[in-house]
Amino acid sequence: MNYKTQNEICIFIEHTNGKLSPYTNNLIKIANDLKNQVKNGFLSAIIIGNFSNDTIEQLSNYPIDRILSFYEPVLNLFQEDSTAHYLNQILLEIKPEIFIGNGTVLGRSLFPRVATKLGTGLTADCTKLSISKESGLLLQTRPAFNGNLMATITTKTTRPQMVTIRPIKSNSSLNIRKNVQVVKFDFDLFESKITILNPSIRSDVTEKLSNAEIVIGVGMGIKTPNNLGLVYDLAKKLNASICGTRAVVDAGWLAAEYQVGQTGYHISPKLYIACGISGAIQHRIGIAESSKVFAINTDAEAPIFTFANHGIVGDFKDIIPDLISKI
Amino acid sequence: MNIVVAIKQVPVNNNITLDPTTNNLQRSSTDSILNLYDLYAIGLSINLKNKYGGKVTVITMGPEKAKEALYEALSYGVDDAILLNCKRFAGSDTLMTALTLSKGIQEIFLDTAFDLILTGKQSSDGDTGQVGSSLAEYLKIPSITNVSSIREITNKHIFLTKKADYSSMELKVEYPVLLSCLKDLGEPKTPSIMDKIKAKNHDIRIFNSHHLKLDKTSIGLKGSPTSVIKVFKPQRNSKCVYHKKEDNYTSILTTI
Repeated sequence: MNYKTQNEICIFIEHTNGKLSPYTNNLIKIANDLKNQVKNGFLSAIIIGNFSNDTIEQLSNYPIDRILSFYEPVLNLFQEDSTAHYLNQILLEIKPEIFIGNGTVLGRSLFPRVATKLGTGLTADCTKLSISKESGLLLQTRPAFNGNLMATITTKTTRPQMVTIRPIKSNSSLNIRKNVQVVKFDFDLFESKITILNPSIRSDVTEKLSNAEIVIGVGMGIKTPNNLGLVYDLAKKLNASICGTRAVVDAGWLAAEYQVGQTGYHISPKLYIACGISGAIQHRIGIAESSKVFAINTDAEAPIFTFANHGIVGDFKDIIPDLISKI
Repeated sequence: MNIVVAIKQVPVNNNITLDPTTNNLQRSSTDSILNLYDLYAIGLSINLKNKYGGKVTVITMGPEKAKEALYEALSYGVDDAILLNCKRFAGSDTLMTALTLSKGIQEIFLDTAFDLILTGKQSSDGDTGQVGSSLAEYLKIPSITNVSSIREITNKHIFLTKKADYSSMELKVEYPVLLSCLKDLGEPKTPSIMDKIKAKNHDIRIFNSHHLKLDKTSIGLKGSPTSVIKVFKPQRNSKCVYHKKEDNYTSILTTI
């Protein structure tokens, strides 16, 4: 059977026992936008591992043209040697033009394995994708040099053009497409050398941080950990989560799971309130996807103000109580 | 255990600007250091060697100058160092870097077998974190990224903890395996002056494309499937609106 269609874009659906990753919505939105930029664009979602009919049902409510599925109940996607093997089999069959996944911990290690099997190019952590009107190539844009510059990359001759995108949680509604075709694959078992003994010791802190609509970040500008009390007061009032810069975590004022930035977590709240944060590029990378940034800093020249949408030049010890009293 | 640590020399900082007229990259400093994440991989390799015995070899691909990073690794107690250096390796993207490293590692272990390949989580300049997994694929071994602790090593398996996005998990993996290392694993002990002198006297082996039997058309810039077509300054999203404490600025707090 020949599955090949013209101008096919494939995406990789991450899930845990059939529960879709929170970044799925954004991935489908971005892939669907790309599909609309090419003639006869066709969008397929690949799902493999242990999922249920409900998962397929849920996926069918997204604007995709086809679901390529391989049901393997004993597979945990983090058994990356096996997962990469199965993905490779599907991609060899489908031969898509473009293959996109989320730049999660899984995506960032699984995609290089698959790209190597296919001998094709891969660009990590893209923040913008579009199709070139001249060449028809996928324009893969990502931050370079700690976000000081942006680089646009193309994969000229090898296929598929592979990218991971920055994982973002979004709830934007997508047009529902009916009659999604479901293709079921069947492969021999690939024995993984990896055994998952204890699949998920979840960190409540980071999960809460990733879901929070408002996040308050603290930097060394709060001077002493005793001042964290004020920040917690505001957080309680706003139902916000708290995070810190690397310096704050290194100083032991907050635990490592609170660290946001290049080497910590990346967050995308609707509002980020930066207290005493100078705004080093390493921290800005972690908050780059925030919808709105409100900075409070005594130093009017702090780089955070070149990045913030709203700012108050002043001591957070004066501003926060004032803010709490006005809410 | 036979351990290989793949490392990278990176610029001291990433303060790069574009020359407004020529559009060329301008670095504020040309100094280079050992990639910070690689330090944790070196730290782990030394700990494992002390506990289980064996040999640690460090490998990098880069210009002659990258020897500095290898000397630094040697000063921490690594036993041997290999530099993959050839004009033809220049311009390698992550796929070609991984290919070249895999050939280098195969060249080192012609007669023996390796147990463990270690890398840092990612490099601080490229920031992709994809060379490790690609290298493992070329070597046809499993890989575990974001390793935060090694709990036990038996004669066949490594028991370890891996950090994922919002969770951590405990795994068991058959070795040989490639592991990418997090800060949690710790840094190696600061070397003494004597360690540094001893390192400087070490004879670093250099392999070029002929040694690795790599065809010049399928490596480096020529072999790289990806190419950078444009570099530009990021646009600032908006101008900051300043408020005063006296103002009623609570409208900022609405998230809709």
